[in-house]
Amino acid sequence: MKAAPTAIEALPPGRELRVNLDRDAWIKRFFVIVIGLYLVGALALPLSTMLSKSFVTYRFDLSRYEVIRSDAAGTWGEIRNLADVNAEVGRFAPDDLRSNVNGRLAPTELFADFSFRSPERWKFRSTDPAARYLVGLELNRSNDWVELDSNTFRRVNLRPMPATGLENYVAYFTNPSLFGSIENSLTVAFISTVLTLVLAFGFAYAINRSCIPFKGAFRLVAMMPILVPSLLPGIALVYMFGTQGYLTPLLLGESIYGPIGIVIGSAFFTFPHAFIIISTALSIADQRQYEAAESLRASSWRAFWTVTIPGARYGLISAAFVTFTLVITDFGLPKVIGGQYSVLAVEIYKQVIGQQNFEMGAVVSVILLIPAVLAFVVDRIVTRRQVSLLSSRSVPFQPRPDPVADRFWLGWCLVVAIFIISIIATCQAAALIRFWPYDLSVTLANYDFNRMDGGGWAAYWNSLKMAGWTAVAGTVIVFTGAYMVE
Amino acid sequence: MTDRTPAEPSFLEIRNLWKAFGDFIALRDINLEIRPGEFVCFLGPSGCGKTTLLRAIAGLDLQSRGTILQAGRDISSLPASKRDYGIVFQSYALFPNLTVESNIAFGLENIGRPRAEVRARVAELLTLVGLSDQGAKYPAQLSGGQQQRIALARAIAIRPGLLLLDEPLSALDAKVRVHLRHEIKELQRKLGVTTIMVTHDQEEALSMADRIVVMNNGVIEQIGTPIDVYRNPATIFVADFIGETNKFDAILADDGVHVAGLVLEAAIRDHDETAATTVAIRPEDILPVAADAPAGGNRMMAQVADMEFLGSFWRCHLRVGQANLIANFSMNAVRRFGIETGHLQTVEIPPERVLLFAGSAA
Repeated sequence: MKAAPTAIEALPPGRELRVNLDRDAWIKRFFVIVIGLYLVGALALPLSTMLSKSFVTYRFDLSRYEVIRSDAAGTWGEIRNLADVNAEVGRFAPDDLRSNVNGRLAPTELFADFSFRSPERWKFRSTDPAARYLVGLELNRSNDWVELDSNTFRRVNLRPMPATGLENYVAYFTNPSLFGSIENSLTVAFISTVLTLVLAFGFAYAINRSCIPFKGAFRLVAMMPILVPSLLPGIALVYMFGTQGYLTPLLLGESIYGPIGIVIGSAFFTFPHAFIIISTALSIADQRQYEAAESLRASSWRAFWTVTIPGARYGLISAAFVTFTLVITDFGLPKVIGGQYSVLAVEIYKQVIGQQNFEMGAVVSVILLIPAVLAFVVDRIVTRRQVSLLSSRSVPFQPRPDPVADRFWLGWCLVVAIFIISIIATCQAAALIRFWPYDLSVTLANYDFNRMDGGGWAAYWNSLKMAGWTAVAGTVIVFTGAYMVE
Repeated sequence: MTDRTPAEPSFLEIRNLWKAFGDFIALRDINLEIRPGEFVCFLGPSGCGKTTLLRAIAGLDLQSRGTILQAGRDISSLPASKRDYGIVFQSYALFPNLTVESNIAFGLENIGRPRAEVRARVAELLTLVGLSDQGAKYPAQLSGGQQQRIALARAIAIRPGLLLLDEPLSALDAKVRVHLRHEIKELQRKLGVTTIMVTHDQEEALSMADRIVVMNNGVIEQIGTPIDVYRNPATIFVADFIGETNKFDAILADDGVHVAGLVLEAAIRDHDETAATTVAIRPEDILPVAADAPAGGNRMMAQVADMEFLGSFWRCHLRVGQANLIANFSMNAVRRFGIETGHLQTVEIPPERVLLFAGSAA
């Protein structure tokens, strides 16, 4: 007899059973915690610091300072608030009082008749513990009155007060030259992405789906740009298309210094990344789907859009975001070849290194983060939506010789390969030439790094050492992480 | 071997077809005629060339030599897209990014049918395969059996003259397979479309085909109806491959066929008596009889060495003299004669069921 069915199926009371943790599980937990801490330290902290920094604004709050001025005879006048003084003389507009963390403002500027030689004396104080000022190099921490002579009062400097707000962003978006760099960055990144995707797709298609010869060699050439820094194509393009370049006439009067140079150089250094991703997407295909399309009387054009592109769709999207992010965040190339064309990444450099304006640098960084975050989110969504295009019964695609198409794809690969090789060859040639383009004799003198600025061979070894440690640490961390996830 | 009626013109005719992959000859001198509306199965072990032959007919892999005529037209070197057939693959090969409806409509759109007609035809086909409420879904949302039905609907959408099925059921689990087997056969009968199905599953071929083409090592071993192929295999390979069989080396003599110490009466065919001979006996042709029944041919005593229960029948391992025989006894017979391990049972093998083939059993 079966037990009478109850209305609600319920488990008998008791605790949920769990597998006892063995030693492996404890080790695993330990590593997960270590890696978690590392990620917090290496990623979360810097990012949150940058984000919070971008919302910090500094301005001089004149209303927090009071001053008493004596006449030449030493008779003290009345207490005056600096804000009132400013309102009276109209020295600073509200915008002039915006500053950054290193800002200094001398109160003497409010007194047009100030002279450090005058026998007048000054009493000065801050009414707010947060409002600080310097006397000479010394930071005054009290709120008491301080009596100073004119010569010392000259050396008083107000410090700005921090506040939280969107002012940095407002300033950024209202500054036409800064804001223009967004448009420039987006334009360049967009055009570069389209160009790179088209080139890389054709290249990957030729290697995976046609019967051209020298596939191994082409693959090798396609990977070469990954080994060189992004500013290398910039240098090469200067030699090729610069004012003294050997191919300059090809530009028909346009200047390489600007968007053209950035786009060409970006297509060079992002090519391997796009190629790897698209090639992986194109490497797997179901031969049967092409045969089904053919048996259903589809033209090869329609088969391409029904089978090939949907199969590579996720690879294309992924490659597009990677390329876009690489181009928009790259600063080496536009610095070398960008000329007066201002882009976001260079703007950060200018703000932080040039003007010591860390807050504005943080704002630009946050803006630059947007495409990266977007790419990440889209990639997640896309991966989740991706269904396996292949079943265990699928038959892998085998390209068949097709003389006309193969010749076309061989041509495509040759053009791309020549582009990549000529950029690298130009740099190598330039390195061996004494003084381009005036003294074309060959020399190894340029390899004598010690003759040059910037640390010479010591810098070279430092780079190697750092890269070595990064490779070791990165591999260990990633491998441990992958092992633990498994 | 072929039971072809000359009055009926063939729909598909294959003449002297060869196919080589490099040094390997995959098909040698294939000749075959298929009548309109016929359901033909290519049956054989993997690597026998059956799929290669199907792909040659489809134009997906051109044959190296030979001619293929379809409806009187020489299609030997036509590209696949210019031939008149629909194909269903083992892996379905549905377009995963298109909905079920768009998948079925794909071929109709390619031949430029007006939109209204396409929509009507898609709805009709969805009803035909019993999935009319699944049209808006994507293939990945359907079960294997449903996907295969959609693949079938897609293949017949443009009303092709020939339907090619490349192991369409082998990716499905057993229950679905048997069900779909029946459905495909029904559909084929309803549409009257000439159909070729490749399979390595003999049960599938026997239950579905009008005629079976048994292939091995790139040649056709036998062409015939399922009953013909099963009851009268032309070669020892066919006897062995289709159904189960007891095989023995045999010597032909005047008093009968000498097999492992037994002398069997056989309806001897015209064999060269000096050549090596193999005798084949189907397990179901060994009949248990009562000891006092009137004597039939080839009566002998057998000891039951072992028994396996297989549901509707028992497989019994018998010892007769030095010979080991496998016999299938029905549940009824086992109950009636009280057959159990160690039991001595009288059996008979009807002489016309003792099949003789040239060549050695190995």
